[in-house]
Amino acid sequence: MTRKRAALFGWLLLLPPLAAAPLSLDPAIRGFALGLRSGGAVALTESPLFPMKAQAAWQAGAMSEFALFGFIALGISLDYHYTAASDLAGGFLYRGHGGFCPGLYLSVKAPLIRSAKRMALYGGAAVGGSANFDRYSLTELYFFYPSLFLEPFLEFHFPRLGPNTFCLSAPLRLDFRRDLERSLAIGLAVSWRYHPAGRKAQA
Amino acid sequence: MKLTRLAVAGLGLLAAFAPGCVLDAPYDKFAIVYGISDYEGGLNDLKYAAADAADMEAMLAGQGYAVWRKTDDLATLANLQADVAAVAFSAKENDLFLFFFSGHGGQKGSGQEGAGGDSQNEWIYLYNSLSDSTQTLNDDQLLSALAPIPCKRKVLILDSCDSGGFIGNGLEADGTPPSLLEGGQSLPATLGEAIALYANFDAGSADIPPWKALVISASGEREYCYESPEDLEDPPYFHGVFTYFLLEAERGGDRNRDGYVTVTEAYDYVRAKIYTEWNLRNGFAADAFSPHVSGGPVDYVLLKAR
Repeated sequence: MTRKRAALFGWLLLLPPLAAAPLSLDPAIRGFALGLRSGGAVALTESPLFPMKAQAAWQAGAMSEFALFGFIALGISLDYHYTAASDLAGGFLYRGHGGFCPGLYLSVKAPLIRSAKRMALYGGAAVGGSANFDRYSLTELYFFYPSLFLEPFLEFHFPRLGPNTFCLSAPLRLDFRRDLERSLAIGLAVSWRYHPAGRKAQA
Repeated sequence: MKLTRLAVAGLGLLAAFAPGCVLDAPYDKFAIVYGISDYEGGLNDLKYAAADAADMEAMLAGQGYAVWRKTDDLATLANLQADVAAVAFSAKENDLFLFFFSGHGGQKGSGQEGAGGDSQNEWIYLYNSLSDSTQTLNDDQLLSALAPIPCKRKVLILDSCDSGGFIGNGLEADGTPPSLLEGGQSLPATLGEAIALYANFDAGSADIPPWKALVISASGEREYCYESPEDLEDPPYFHGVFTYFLLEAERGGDRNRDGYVTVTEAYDYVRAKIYTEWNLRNGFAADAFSPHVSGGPVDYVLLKAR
């Protein structure tokens, strides 16, 4: 994908929530939030000497978000991620590796559907970066690489469940590995967020 | 080209979720196996290095490798060059090449190695190293000697002292110290080193980088490795300790039970065995040592599991 296309893709994802921003968020889910998330992905890896292969990957972690202007939030996250070794076709494989990845991101969201009693649905996207500290499986070899990610999401709020929201997202991660030609991952993730300030709002 | 890549990725995607689906690779395997027990002149002899080479040849031949073996007075640079020429004549880019060496190794100060290196250079000693200094090979010279072989998958297995110094990881910080007895750095320091390596990555850095060959070394950069004293072992090894367990790897090294033993799996098996059967048994005495392995994102199938 060219840079122009990637930028266009990013704007297309961000525009709907920005356009809908004047419809402010439900008071129950404004402000600071804490959350947990988990997801699976397919990582595509290609080295300068060997062709591309797929690797299964999963990630789980926690995050906290601080609202900046109601519909924009600044988030920090700490995840553990693991990428399994690829298949052995051709007599080679891409090694499995895993480790911790602290991240920083901005997320934008806006209401898509709102029903005061039953459910509110928000659409949005998060964009950010992470620092990955990984270790190759079966070794004591540690390595570092940064990543960028773009994560469009749908966030569900069911008023009867209090100040909790649930997200379904499709993260796209681009790794900047210096010994690989390409390393990216596409996946699906679910997350839960708790908005402490929402208890007051509900009261 | 893009369509081909997408198709490959799609097939890979299927394979990623079907771990039992392994394609038998249509490539040939070549090995040069050298072991020197009886050195020329005053270099102290070893008990089992030639036996290491003989049993490695038998194991590799049983795995379908075409093997060129030289021991003792035949393990010279001239013969190595001849063997390399013979392999280079037959091997192709997608074939697998393995070089195994059992014998003396050591360090000699020879100036700064480069980024991530120290002031020592590590060597392996061929038969007549004492009388002819060209018979000792450091990492660059060994790579140069093997350069005519066109295989892009090369594996070097070195059962010699200080052999960890042949490994040149440009991006990975090794949590196993160059000498177990000297100890290592803390995990935060290791992670800091990893960041520094990323920031200062130099594709032409010192030693043998993983994209030129994957190396399994018997010991660290500042560490001896040992042969077994047969009177202490039950059953006796009759081999170098490292090679003894490496020879077992085809039967015990398949960690994920996919039917194959990769370079990393073989390393992991041997390392675990040396820790439990040698280092811990001897109470981490002065003869404790640990194998090391190259980093890099790619690993190779080394053996079929038996």
